[in-house]
Parts: sequence; structure tokens; C-alpha cells
Amino acid sequence: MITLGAIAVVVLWAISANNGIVRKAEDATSAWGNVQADYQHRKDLVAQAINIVKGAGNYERGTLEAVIKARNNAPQLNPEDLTEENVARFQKAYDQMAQEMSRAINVTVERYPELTATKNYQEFQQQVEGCENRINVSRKKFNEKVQIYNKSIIVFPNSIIAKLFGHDKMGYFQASEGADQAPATDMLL
Amino acid sequence: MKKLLSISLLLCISVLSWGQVPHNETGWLPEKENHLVYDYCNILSPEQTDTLEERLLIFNDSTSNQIVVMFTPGFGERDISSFAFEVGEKWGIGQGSLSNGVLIVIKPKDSTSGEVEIATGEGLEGVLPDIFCKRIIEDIMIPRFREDDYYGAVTAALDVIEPVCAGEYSFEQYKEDHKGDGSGIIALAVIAGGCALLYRHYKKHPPKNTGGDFSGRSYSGGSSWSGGSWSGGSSSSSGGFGGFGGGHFGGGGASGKW
Repeated sequence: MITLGAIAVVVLWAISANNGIVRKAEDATSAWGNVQADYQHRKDLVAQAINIVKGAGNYERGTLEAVIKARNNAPQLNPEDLTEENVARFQKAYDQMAQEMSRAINVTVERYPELTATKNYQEFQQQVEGCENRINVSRKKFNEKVQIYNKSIIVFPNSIIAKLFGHDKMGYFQASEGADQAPATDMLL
Repeated sequence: MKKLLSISLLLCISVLSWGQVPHNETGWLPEKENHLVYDYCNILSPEQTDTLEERLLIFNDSTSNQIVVMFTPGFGERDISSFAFEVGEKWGIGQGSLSNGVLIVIKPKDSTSGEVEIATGEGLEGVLPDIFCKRIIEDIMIPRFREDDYYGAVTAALDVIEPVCAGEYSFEQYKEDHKGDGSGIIALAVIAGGCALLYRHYKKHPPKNTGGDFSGRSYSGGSSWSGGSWSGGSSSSSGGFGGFGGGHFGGGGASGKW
């Protein structure tokens, strides 16, 4: 009778501990939704940049191809696949894309300095700034949630439950080189 | 005796550091207080601070939009935008359900260039898109900052921001009112021409009753709001500020330098 009671207590505890972990994981994955949306916006802006470069005419073929390639390589990442390596790969791909975009825009501006005076270009710049700001904020919020989750699965006795139910550590964003400055705005603005 | 000495020393230090904030400390986040104007640079006069505080308080009471104005000498080793979003989010400016907060951060020009950020709460990103904030900064604020008119820059910006937040004015109307730089110059030329004509007229026919008010209002768009019921500091302030509501900031807004 006593053993039965003890088992019941342990099972109840395990359920509530697991629920706690699941809830924290959900907080993180829902924050991921915003991250993904903001990075998608960066992707849209790169498409806009490609059009700006093309519109200027006489563009450097190599630079433009590099942007298009980098853009095609920027993946979607489902909330259930947020492992450390997947997030790292995601971040790398999008940073690469932003760098190639900045390079292509800078080359074009060097050739056509008058481009910077156009309304199109100025609005584009403004949009890039806004996009990078939003990425910074959503990344930060996501990181905070992941850290709470990651901490919850490594402390004992939650760690047993995590192992038992297969809750793995999630990846989060590392500060890019050159502190918290986003690569795209860094070179563009 | 020793104790007394150390206490008085401590007092001295705290008096000396009055008005100073550790703005160079990495990650510095100013402490939330129960008001809406934060002047860590002592750039406003006490009267200006009071008038501004009262104006923002009335606006908060009547529309629930929370606008915070902050003058700071630094951003805790971040860029101005990150600083503003973090303050807005951590303080929870705006109502929780609406996220209808606005934070205006200004770093006055000293040996380094001046900086300004208008950070919009998530709920106001629709009526105050980034590009609109940029226009307010470039068209309205920076020209006044350049003349060291910090108070004027803030009030003129509020003359636009407040009615926009309250849903009485929009970016479309603003663009209509400020159509292109070219037409602005034409308008100025017309006004200047008109003034010259008037001047010549009055020179020839001096008016009998001198009391004409030609103090120019540079902003036709915002004029209907300026000087209205807000300007008077005479009305007794109601109850005081009830605190921030937990609004969120997602990175909306714009910044500028001069």
C-alpha cells in the first residue's frame, strides 16, 4: 500500500515536472516564430537589394550571383528542429546572405554614388535598419526563453525527466563578431 | 565620530553624483520611476520638465498611450536603438494588452554627435511606421536640435505623435501636409514673398493698431494641435502617474544623428 502510494507520488511529480519543461519549450518555440518572421523580412529585403543592383545596370555579375546564391541557401527552420547546430547553421546562412547583400550594394554605390540620393535607396536603407532592429529584439527574446528552458533540463532532478522524455538542449544565437552590431547595417549605414 | 565622518563623506559623494548616471557601464538600464520625463542631462529647465510631464500625463490619462521622454548622456555601451527597446520592454511602457507606448531617447550633442531615437511599442507600429518616425526625426526634431532647442524639438514632435497615437491624424495626412521638399521651398518662397509685400505695404501705410502677431509657425500640419489645451500648465495635475502597464517593444521606430 505504501509502495503504491510512493509510486503514485513519483508519477505525479514526473508528470508535473514534464509539463513544466514542455511549457518552457513552448515559450521558446513560440518566440522562434517571431525570429523566423524577422529573418524572412531580411530575405525579402535582399530580394529588393537584388532589384536595386540590377536596376542600376552594368552590375558586377559575380557579386550579384553571390547574393542570389546566399539567398537561396538561407533555410527555413521548423520550431521542432531547434537544435544547437541547426540554429548555428541558420544564423550563419542569414549572416552570410546579409554580408553578400551589403557587398553588392556597396559595389553598386561605389559605381553610382548618385544612387544614395534616390528615394528608393533611402527607403530601402530605412527598411534595413528597421529589419535589423527587429531581428535583434526577437533574437534577444528568443535567447532568453531558450536559456530558461535549457537551464530547466539540466538541473537535477528535472534532468532525469528530460532524459526520459527526450527533451534536448535548444540552440540559441551567439553574438556575431563585432559585438551586437548586425552585419547588414554595419556595412550599409 | 569616525562614523559621523564617514556618513558625511557618503552624503557628500551622493550629492556630488546627483544627476549623474552610470551611463558608461555596460548594460546600464536606468531605474524606472513613477513619471514620464527623465532628464539625466539637466537639459530642460524645471518649468519645462513640469509642463512636459503634465502634458504627457494628461495624454496618458485621456488616451492610455504612454509616451516617455528621456535625455541621457549615454546608452550603457549599446547603440541607441538597442538601449531604447530594452528600456521600453523592461519598463513596460504602454498598456500590456495594447502595447501603446512610445519612448523618445535623446542624447544631446556635446563633443560627440547628438542622437535621437523614437521607439514605438508593438501596438503602435501600424500608425507610427519606421519611415514616419524617421520623417519626424529628420523634418521636425533635428532642425531644432541644431539650434539647441531641445524642448521645442520634443514638443513639436509630440504635436504630431500624440494625435497620431490618438487616431486623429495619420502618416498619409502628414505626407499630404508636407508634400516633398520642393513644394516646401515653394511654400516658403510664397510666404516670404507675401511677407515682403506686407512689409512694404505696412511701411507705406503703418497700421493704427500695432498688435499684429506675425510670429511664424513653421509647421502648418501640426499647428492645429500646438498651443491647444496642452500648453497651459495652470490646470492642476490629476492624481499623478499610475505606473507603466507592461507594453512590449519589438524593434519598431527610427533613429537619427546630428
